[in-house]
Amino acid sequence: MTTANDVLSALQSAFPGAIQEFRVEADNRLWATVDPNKIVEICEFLRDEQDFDHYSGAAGVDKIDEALFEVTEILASHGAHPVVALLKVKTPRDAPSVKSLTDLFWNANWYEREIWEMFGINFEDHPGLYPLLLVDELVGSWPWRKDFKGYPDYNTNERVLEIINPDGYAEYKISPTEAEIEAGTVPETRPEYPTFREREIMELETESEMILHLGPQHAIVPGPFMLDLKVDGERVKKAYLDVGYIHKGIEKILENRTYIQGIPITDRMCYLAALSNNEAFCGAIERLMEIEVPERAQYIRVILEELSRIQSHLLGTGEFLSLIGGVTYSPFQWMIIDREETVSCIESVTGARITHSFIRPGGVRNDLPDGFAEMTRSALKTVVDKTNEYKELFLSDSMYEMRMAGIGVLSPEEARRLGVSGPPLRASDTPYDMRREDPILVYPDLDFDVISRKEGDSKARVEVRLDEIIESCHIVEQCLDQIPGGPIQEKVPKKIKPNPGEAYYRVEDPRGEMGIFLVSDGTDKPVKVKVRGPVFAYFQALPPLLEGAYVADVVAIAGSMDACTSEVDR
Amino acid sequence: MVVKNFQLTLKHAIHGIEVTRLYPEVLMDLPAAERGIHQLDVRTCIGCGACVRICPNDCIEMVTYKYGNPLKNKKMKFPQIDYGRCMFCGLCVDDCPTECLTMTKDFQIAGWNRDDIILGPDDIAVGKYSDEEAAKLAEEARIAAEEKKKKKAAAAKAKKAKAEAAKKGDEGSGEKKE
Ligand code: SF4
Ligand code: SF4
Repeated sequence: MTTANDVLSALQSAFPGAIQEFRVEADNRLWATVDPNKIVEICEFLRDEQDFDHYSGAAGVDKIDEALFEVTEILASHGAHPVVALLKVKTPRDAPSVKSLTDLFWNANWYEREIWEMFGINFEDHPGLYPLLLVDELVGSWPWRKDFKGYPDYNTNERVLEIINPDGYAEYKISPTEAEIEAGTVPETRPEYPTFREREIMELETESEMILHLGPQHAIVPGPFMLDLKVDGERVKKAYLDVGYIHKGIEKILENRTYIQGIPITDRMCYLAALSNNEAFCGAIERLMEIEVPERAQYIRVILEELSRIQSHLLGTGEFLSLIGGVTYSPFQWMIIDREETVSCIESVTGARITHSFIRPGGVRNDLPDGFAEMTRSALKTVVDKTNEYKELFLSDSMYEMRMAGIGVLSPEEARRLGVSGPPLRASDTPYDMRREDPILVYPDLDFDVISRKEGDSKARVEVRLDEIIESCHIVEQCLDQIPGGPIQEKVPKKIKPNPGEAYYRVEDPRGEMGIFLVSDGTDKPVKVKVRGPVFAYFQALPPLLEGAYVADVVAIAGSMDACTSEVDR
Repeated sequence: MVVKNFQLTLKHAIHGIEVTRLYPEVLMDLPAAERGIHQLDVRTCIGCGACVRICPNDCIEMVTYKYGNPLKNKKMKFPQIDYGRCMFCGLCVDDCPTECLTMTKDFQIAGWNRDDIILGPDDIAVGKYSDEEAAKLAEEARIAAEEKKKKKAAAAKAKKAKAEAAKKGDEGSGEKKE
């Protein structure tokens, strides 16, 4: 099996002198600072010669002390080997510019756009460097730079400017206003670009085409986002996605909180995956602090994360099936009943039903209560029985079949190219699961299958989720049998101050690969937290997936991805 | 065929699986670990402010409250929680050194005004002292403080005397050296 050292020596012999610094953290983690002029060639080499076919994301870091920006490209492989390569490129702060990887990896597009709008780092040869998440007023103020004064504060300390209009009403404006710009009191460095609306109108070619808006508020969407479809008759010719309606700037908030205070914030990225978000964040801290979690705590974490996967899949599937509504029944209520029981099991440990804030660096907050095993076993039994019933039901339903089979087919190559992960990727015949690829906690000791399907259509995606529910029940039962006694919290200092350095920690979220890239400078607050969320990747893949579909199938395709807007926008 | 679907629906109907919760008449059974509205044991709170410092949302403020224990909490400052901001994360409870701050199963906090959901020490307190007890404790605390003051003064006096003595000695030795 290829290890990080092998990759490093291959790189060094292929590009002598281009690897400026390197660190082999473990067999599956390679950190390297590379020559900015060679980054594209290096990535191409890694992709073609070393099987790094999974572009997992990119993170920008503002090193204000060194007058540098760093862009870290995260590359991995779809199962050929477990190495994750994190390649850092440095660029001066006064004229930041990095070469774009969009030619090599299609899905680098959104990650680079995000870095551009937040840090102002230019990406050479990027096909469309438009803002993605930010509101237009904030573009150009580069909010994630360390010297950003808070919004809008250029000169004053006020959050919004109050302007009394001629009628005597107060209007609130985000600075800078037109008047300020004219007076020259505020430097205007806003980049010029066509807006989202203008861009899609530009692409209208014939009279018979039109733009159909779904959202930002729509009964079928799981959160506010705008899906605009260019339709010709009943066919979707192209889809455009506008996100950022609930952008919370969680990555920036985390920079202003101590590590412990950051844990409840990570819950809010996606409440269905609160526990795995906690896990990813705390796991990254643990990597930096080099602490080992006590075994009992590891089991508790696995139990809860799997229960949380079950409830997430139940809600996701139930909601989706009631949205497509074409079938004669809606299993939503049934699935909600099962979910309630599962959530009650989690609640009996964490004390909250959705936002758990439960995992701590080096352990967990509470121990399992008395009677937890019996309660969970009986809940799991119901879940397994009912899930089997649903599977049978869907199989026997011809309407369901018509609505779902062969719809939104993602071929394995396409799925990998678009960078999706989690159930949609596994439904496309790619059994890629972080619990196997990047084993954490006690997952290596547990016996479980990675569920996958060959078809890659909407039906397969739902089937994967239903099978995963059953598999997760199996994992929880094993954990309940094997869980040892002992402490649940490793001794950690009261003030958590990880060692200076960087860590990348991946977990299998209910929706796919959730990675946290953490940079610490040894103080009690992180320098940078990059959240590499699974749904961000799905959303990016949605427009190509919808191309050529019927309008009536759009919901059946988009919904089967089980998206969560809150996590895209973070 | 779709007949199966109706079978399942029927099964649910016949077995009478309970779906609807009869809130607010019947409340759910909540576990002991539930993170609801806080409870403050004013007898043991030492007013250290650890809960204030850890709160990510800055919802806690220390306010003066008179039915606490002045022997432990000298300034008589106790936490007041703004539930308009609280996200029930429980970090304050974890950080409280005397375990006097806990979370209860109570979660119903709706109010007509924003001020209604700012709960002061009086609203979340348990083990409140009565007026007489409070007065007695205040008296005790006053005496204790006075005694301490006296002691301190005595100690300071002793120290001063000592210092003077030392000074004298120093001077003496200095003289000798010359
Ligand atoms: S529960 Fe959390 S948010 Fe609420 S007061 Fe305590 S620390 Fe603050
Ligand atoms: S409640 Fe606890 S943490 Fe808060 S001031 Fe009192 S003793 Fe300190």
